[in-house]
Amino acid sequence: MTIAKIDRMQYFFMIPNLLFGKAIGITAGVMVRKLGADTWLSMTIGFVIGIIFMLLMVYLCSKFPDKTVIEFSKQLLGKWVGGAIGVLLALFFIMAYATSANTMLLHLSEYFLQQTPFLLICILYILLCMYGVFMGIEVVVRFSLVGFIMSILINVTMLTGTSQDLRPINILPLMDKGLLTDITGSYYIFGDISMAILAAGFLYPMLNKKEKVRRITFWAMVTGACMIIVWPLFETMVLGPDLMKQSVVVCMRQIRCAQLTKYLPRYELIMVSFFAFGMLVQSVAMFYCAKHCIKQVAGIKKDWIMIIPLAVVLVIATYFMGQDDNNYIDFLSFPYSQICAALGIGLPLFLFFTALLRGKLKKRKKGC
Amino acid sequence: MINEALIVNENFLKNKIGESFDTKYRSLKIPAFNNAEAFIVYISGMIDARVIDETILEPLMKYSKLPQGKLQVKGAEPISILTEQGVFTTALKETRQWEEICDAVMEGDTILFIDQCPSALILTTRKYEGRTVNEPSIESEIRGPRDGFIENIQTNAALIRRRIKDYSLRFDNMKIGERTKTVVSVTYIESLVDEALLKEVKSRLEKINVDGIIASEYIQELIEDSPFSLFPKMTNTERPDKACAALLDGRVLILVDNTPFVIIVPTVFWQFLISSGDYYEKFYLATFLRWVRIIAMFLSISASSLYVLLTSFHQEMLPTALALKIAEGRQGVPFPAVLEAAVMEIILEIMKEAGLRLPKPIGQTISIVGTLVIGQTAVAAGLVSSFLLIVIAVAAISSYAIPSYTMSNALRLVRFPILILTAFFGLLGYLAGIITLLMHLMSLRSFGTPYLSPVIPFDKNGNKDVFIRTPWWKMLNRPKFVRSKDRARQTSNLKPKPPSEK
Repeated sequence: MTIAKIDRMQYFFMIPNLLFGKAIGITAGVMVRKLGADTWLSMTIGFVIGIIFMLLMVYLCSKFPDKTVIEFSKQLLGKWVGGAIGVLLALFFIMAYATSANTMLLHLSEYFLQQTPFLLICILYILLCMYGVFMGIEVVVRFSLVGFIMSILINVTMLTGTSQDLRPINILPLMDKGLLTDITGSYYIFGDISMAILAAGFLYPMLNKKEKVRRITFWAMVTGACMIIVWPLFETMVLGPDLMKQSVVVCMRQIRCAQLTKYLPRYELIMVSFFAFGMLVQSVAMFYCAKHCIKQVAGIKKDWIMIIPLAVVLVIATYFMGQDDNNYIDFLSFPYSQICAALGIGLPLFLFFTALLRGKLKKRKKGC
Repeated sequence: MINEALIVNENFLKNKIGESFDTKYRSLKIPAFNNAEAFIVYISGMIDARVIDETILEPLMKYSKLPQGKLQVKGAEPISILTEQGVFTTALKETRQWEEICDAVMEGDTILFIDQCPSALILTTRKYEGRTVNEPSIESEIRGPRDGFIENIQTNAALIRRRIKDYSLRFDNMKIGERTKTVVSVTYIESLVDEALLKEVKSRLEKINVDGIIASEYIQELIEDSPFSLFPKMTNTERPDKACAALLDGRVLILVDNTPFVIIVPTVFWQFLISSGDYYEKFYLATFLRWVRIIAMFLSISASSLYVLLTSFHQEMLPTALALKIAEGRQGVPFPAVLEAAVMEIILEIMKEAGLRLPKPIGQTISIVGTLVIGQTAVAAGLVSSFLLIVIAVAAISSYAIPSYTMSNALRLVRFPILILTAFFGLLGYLAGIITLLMHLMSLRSFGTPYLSPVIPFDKNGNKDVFIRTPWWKMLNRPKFVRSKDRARQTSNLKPKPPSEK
């Protein structure tokens, strides 16, 4: 079997895409209901913690450079426990895909295609992702450069369009709910960071060169974090936390406040057009990882055997998760964020200590 | 193997290549060899009669210096004597193989048989009627050379040789096609080309087993990667300057006899947006023109889809004044925007196709009638809106701003599925179309080179000649994606400076 190869620059662009889409609007909306004006601060804390666990995951992967997280789990814990981790990860990626897809679909069904049946939109989006998975991870990773550029463009246009409406007083007083609340509330962002942490366990073996990957991962995470944190910060300064709490998709409310010129009075169409590219990378990556997990657990060799049934499962999961906006947001508040935090923090820690106890961390690889 | 008896050879040939009106068998006696019987065979339309008269027949008749004691015509001696004594001034080759003889006749050579000789002489007398070198018809430029490739492979090779005098320029010929035996030449600069690429090109060509190759497009379809894709993975050019620039990048050319289009491999998407003229203008203008073409490409794919998207789904995104103007134009139009756009697109395609085949004198008349009837009258009758006509015209003109005809055709076809998707799903449909197109482009390769190189995967050096055309003194290296053996194109510090700073 030929193993797909991706280069380090593509990997760098991939990580912000894995973090960006859901975090800027949906997660910010979930967090603002709990943390008010401190959302951006709590998110920053979450990212600091997230970066540590991301680096821990990459460190672990560097000890098993040609193995995916499932393969080295099997090596460390045996076939059955490793297989159970694989099943757990497959379920996580299916769920992550459904949340990611619903982020995009919510933007479309709420603001642009109110009269189109949700199931139809859902099927078309999943078909698009399926095409990406058929094309293979190399294509998806190449596409991440486009997604990254588009995400930068959204940020630039949002900042330009809303800079005249900034009211810094809206973020004051800082740590209104207390630092401890901000720290404990930061786990909500793991709904997004965990996607990157756990996907790294599958991307790492595909890297064509493995030197300086930890450094690249660190800067990719920092770049992604900066691109995201600016959103709740600006959203709070423009809209204020009370208005933010009332929106399902906060970023769309923010975008509606942005007017680039009188010739572009409604900017959301352009914003969603840019947004779709990055969002698609996230969704396709989750689809791909889910497929990869099931393949490795079940020992299936051929992709197409997996992709079509999995797509059907994803249509069902996405449809039932997203057909009611409130249920979707409630699901993200509980239990999705908690599960993601448990997996994103727990799995790397668990594997790290297991590897440590089994003496697998002694062998050092140069340059990693 | 040929026979010693002249009559046997003649009968064999008549049986093998026939006695068509243009196949000439001319018997003669050679005085120098005791009036030995001989005959020549050639195809009249493919030879230079003057060459036969002056360099073959005349020397043969006048030749009298028969070496002493060699009065008997026996064995291969007369042929050897003629060869060794330099009787003929044209190029020649001695052979005993029928296949070689028949191939030579078919290519316009003349064959001399002498009685009692077990070998024959192939004498080069080829001359084909054909076009002279003139300006390329579909790749014309305002500045730059005016010569273009023609149907004769020898002339085309000479046009390349005139420009590149590198000792390592190679033309590796092969014959493809069981019946056409078309000469195909793999051309490259040995000191630059990537060995793996060259090997791959040759191996793909060698695998071709067809009865005929009429044009280079046949070869292209037989060796192209992802054959079901709409997009061309090889460049065709009529311009020797463009072909030579490709050779200097380390690429490989495929020259096909009887075709004025030379194939360039590997090819990347962006090459289709670059014109040879870009290198004959100031780099600022060349960069500007590239962006114009990129915008034109976007419009040719998207203009009609965006019209449908904005008028049918997302009217609120338009500035009020513009929205009102469009609504005013659409008042009374009995069709939905998508039907209006699709019908106009199809009519435009019909007009384009008809325009290609119309005899020149009536072409202009039909264009005027077409424009008036389809344009003004349709608007006046309220069947289509005037704004849509502008959109369709912009899309049509934009598609011709793309320098490559093959790419422009591919983009023509792409806009229909995007239009249909947009009509059904609005923004999601449009984005789905564009994203699918992008992912498809990212999955393509041309002889191992990713199709969107050097942008995706990103290569800083390669991007000096994509979205911007940097000055020549900045393009120090050949593009990385071509994988040339010698990446350095030139020395640094070539930027012109005033004498005081030197």
